[in-house]
Amino acid sequence: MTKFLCAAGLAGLLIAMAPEASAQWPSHPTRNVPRNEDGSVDMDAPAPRTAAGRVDFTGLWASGGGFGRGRGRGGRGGPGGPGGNANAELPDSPPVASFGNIGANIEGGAPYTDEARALRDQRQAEGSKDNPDAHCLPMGHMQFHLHPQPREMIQTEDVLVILYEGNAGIRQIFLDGRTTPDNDPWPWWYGYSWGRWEGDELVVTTTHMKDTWLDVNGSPFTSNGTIIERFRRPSFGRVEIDVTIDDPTVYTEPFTVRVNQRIMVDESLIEFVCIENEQSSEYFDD
Amino acid sequence: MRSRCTTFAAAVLAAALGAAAAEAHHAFAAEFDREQPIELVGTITRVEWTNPHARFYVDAPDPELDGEVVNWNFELSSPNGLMRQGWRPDSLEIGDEVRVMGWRARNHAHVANTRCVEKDGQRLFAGSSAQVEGCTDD
Repeated sequence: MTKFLCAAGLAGLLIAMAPEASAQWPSHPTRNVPRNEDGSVDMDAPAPRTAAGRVDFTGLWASGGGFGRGRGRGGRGGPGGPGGNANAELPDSPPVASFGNIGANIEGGAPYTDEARALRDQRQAEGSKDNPDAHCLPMGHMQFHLHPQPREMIQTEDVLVILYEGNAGIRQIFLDGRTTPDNDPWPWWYGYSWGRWEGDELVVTTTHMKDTWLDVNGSPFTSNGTIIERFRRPSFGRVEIDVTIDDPTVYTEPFTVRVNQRIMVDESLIEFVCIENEQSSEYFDD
Repeated sequence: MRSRCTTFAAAVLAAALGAAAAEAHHAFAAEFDREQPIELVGTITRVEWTNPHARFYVDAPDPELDGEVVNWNFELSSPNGLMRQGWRPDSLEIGDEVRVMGWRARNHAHVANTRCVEKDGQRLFAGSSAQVEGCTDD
């Protein structure tokens, strides 16, 4: 009887605290979600397609939950976020990147030049105080991809827009046939990204990025670099992005890592105005 | 000693709320010091349900000042993450007495990153920017 009353009381408490009952962003059912008999999302159902027959990346995505080489654990100072570890080993796949350390699963780590490794070490020793994320600034593609907060992809025929909840990032990937501009544009926080389809794979090229960080530990990336991302949606519930970093200023050779994302349904992106009450930098140890 | 029901309730509540999830604004090690753990009991004087970090302020004794009561600024995770874990804006209210565990600011200010908050004998996970596995019972 005691256990029954205890359980009943708990059930009431949990219902009272359920996000649907209490959150300012109430749950709303996502349309066209394939489900199993028990109501759970059928993660292995086929990926949806656009009217033009392209794989459709539209959806709300959480970091992690896919497949690749390595467990994706971050180095010191780098949490992996909820569900951030690969859940299966695939020896022939790129190593899984970690939010804290892009080269966490690369034997020997990322191929830093000596100067880049020293810079990374210094940033780590300083507790990542100069991480753009820590100052409410755009944090670069890799930190955005792996950030614990979700991201919404909105795909049209001409553009893939990614809205990042973390620091309210906005990224455009042009799909309208344009390529890298030849008028030497000024480097931007998000760089200049354009994509082309190779079958069901979207291959995205980004150049003209401001110097940024590839992970919380401070792996550098400069405006001289190029990022190639190969987006795939192998099933309804998963996105895989193979990211190739090619920046000879700070890396001795190009290297490729895997980013995994998993679908979130019946939820929404929540606004995040970072500068609203930013106090942390007042307490950084200088 | 807690009753079995309270212990069971705390465990299930902890499971429902989930492990602490890291949120935005990552430079924990620059701001907070794992070598300065603190544990305080005090009364909430203010709550800020804001990004990038929700905060609550507590009048509590400073053990290094012979127990003089000072106002502490405790940093939580983003309200976005807290809400997804079941928190409400009124989960902590002015006047609540709480027990808080966390890590103090490196510059020794009366500021700390919150690891655990206990109110009315139950723990609410704070979701700090540190990589933690969640608080465990004593």
